Amino acid sequence: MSSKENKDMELFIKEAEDIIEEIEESILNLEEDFKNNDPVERLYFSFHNLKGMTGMVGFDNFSKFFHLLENLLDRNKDYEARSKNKKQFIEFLFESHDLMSNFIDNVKSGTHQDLNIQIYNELRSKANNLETSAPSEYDITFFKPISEEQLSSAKVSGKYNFYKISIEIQASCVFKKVRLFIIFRALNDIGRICSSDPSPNLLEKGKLDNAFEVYFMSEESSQKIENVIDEILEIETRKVTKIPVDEFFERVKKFSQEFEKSGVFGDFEEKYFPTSQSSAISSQIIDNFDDLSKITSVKVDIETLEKLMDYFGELVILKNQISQILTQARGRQGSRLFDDMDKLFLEIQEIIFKLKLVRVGKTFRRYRRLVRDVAEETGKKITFILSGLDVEIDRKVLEELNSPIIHLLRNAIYHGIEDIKERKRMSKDPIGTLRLESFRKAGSIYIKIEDDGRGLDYEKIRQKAVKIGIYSPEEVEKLSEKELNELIFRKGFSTLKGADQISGRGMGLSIVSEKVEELGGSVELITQKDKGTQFILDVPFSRAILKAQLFQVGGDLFAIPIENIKQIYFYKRQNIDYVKGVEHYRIDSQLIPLVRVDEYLGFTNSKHSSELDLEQTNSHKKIAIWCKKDENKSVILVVDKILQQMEVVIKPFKSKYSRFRSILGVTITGDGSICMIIDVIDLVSNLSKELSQNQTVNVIK
Amino acid sequence: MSKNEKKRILVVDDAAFTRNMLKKIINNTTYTEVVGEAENGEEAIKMYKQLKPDLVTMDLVMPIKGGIETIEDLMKLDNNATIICVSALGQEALVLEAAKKGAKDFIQKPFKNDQVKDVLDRILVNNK
Repeated sequence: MSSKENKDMELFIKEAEDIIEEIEESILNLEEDFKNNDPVERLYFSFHNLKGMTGMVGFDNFSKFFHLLENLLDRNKDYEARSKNKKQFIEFLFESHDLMSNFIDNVKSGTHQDLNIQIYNELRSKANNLETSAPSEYDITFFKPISEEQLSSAKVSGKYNFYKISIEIQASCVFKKVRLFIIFRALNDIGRICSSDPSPNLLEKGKLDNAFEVYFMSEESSQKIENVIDEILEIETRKVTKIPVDEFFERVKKFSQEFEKSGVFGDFEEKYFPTSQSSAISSQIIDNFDDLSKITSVKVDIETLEKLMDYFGELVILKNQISQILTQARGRQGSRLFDDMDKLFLEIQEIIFKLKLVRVGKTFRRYRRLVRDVAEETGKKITFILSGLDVEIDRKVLEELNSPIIHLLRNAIYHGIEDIKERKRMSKDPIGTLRLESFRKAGSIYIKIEDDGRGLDYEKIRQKAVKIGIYSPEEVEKLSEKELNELIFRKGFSTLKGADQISGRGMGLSIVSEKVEELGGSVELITQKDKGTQFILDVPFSRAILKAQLFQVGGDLFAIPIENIKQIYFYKRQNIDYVKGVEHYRIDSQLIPLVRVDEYLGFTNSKHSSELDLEQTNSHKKIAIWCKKDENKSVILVVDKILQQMEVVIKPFKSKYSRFRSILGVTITGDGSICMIIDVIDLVSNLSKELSQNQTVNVIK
Repeated sequence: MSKNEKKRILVVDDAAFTRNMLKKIINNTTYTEVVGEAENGEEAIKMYKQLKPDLVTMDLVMPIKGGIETIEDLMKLDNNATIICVSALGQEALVLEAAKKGAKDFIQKPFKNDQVKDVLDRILVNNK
């Protein structure tokens, strides 16, 4: 396949995917509000477009299939028509949707396989079963039969020529009726069509092989008539022959006589030769210069966008290096220019950020199908509420969140929301509510999945914890709800007895928390027995370029995101306190866990005692940075020297063999040195995990 | 034929894919060029006023404002407008309606390059 064809195919896939997504939404909308005609109309457009598109890339059977669907919807435009078999109708649409969706997936993966004709036939007979009415008839009226007297007066006037025009339409022509309409209309503009062979009655219904003759009178020359016919498409051959008026009369006589009986002849001259007076209404609004309709959006594939980000990232690094050189050179003019450029950089950066953002709405709407299907499967009734659909999020992050969200939604329906009987017994609304919400706060996007189901059963969690041997029965009773919450996010922990029939995964929530933490986020759980459960995923807005505080430890450069910094202090030895053997730093009345960056990351092997000695002499130089993960969890980092703040471009830093913990990535500073960016969120969570696992101290609030 | 004498064409279709195909074919001749693209009838009318194209290709089934209605309005605007419907399989009634409203001719999707060229030849070049 040539690259051009590849491009075509790519565009095809993209557009088809969008349409298929719309289709799903329309079906869901229709199912919810079956009386509403809007979704039907939307579906009609969607199928129509797919029909054209698939036909053009050579999937003929699919094209036929979409044609079938289009017709089906056309016939069921009115609620009356479709009201009889809602269930089958909706099921058929869903089935069709899934088929399309599979089809596009296959095309995407390189399998260009058309719809199997047998499947098509099956679908067709299914569709026929849903059928309700037939399309209506219509007519064409360009034949103007002529009476004998009219004809002889025309002959006497000497103005007219009489023609036999033989035309053969191309065999490939499908819409013969329309083709004839166009031919007759063109002729009618320059003369009068008096009869035809086959007879006008048959031609009007489009009943002809491909060839026919018309008897035509006109002031125009045969050359002119030929020219007019030549403008029309799908004509194989045409022949315009002048014939004697007597022969002409013979030919048109029969048809004229038929009409004479019904008395429909009109006034000859006026009615059938409206020559040039028809342009009275033309060109009156033409110079009305409205706002030019612009194309307001273009599609860019993600790969291109990523490349743009990458290159821009490189540019920022170069910019930082130039900044360094300029500072050293102290050239005033240069720096001014540089400042201007710097401003532009910021603007561009903002735009690029925006490019990477997508609204969550499109993805969220897709979950409606999932919720519908799972509800159907479990026999539960659910109101699914989506909100915050216009919240924008980095598209990569959104993609990554897909599986955690699906997992939580499924969980909510399978395990959270009770079945109708139970809900009734609890005197709850028999219809459960499931909410998917997103909102932005500070530098984070929050995604909340909330159900009004039975809530977590802490008793069951305790039992399970004992059973799988994490805790002893005594220990487990002492665990706070918060600790129990953390427990259920652990790998392999699931409260379900035996095999979970439906979701079938014992892995449970650990996958969710792992995924979210990978994105630099966290999961919060709020639950109340018999009232419901909320999972709140909190992920950073975007992570490619961020503002960071640089600092030095030992000889090494580090940075932390500005958004994670709460405050910076001079380190004072006397503020150190030990809580069960772990170093803490006192700020006002709070004790906050303390981390010495070099030790934590394993950069130095300095013994604690020697470090203490060293500190005593150098303590005035050290800096304590108070970093927060969120309101409740924070940490103090002890560093040697605080440096400037700058925009850093994060280069992912991933290695299985890496012994460094809590590193977000690396960046290159202005002078070309490598700087590690510390992942505060990861660091804080690791720390609090360690602390609680050691059972030495509870996390400081 | 020199460049500035190229016939100017407005392509109206809600599917970018079809627009793209048409554009490629039209821009591939020496005597025609696409000067505008519209995704629906409303856009088409605005652009027609602005661009005054020599020919319009018109999809019949579009959201917001469909082809039939658009043809009707365009013909009111300029009753010499040359409009070619681009229709899909099975739309005979619709195409007939379009012809009745004043569409000059029609081609069917899926169309071949030659068919589009044929339209351009017949209607634009031979004619004027």
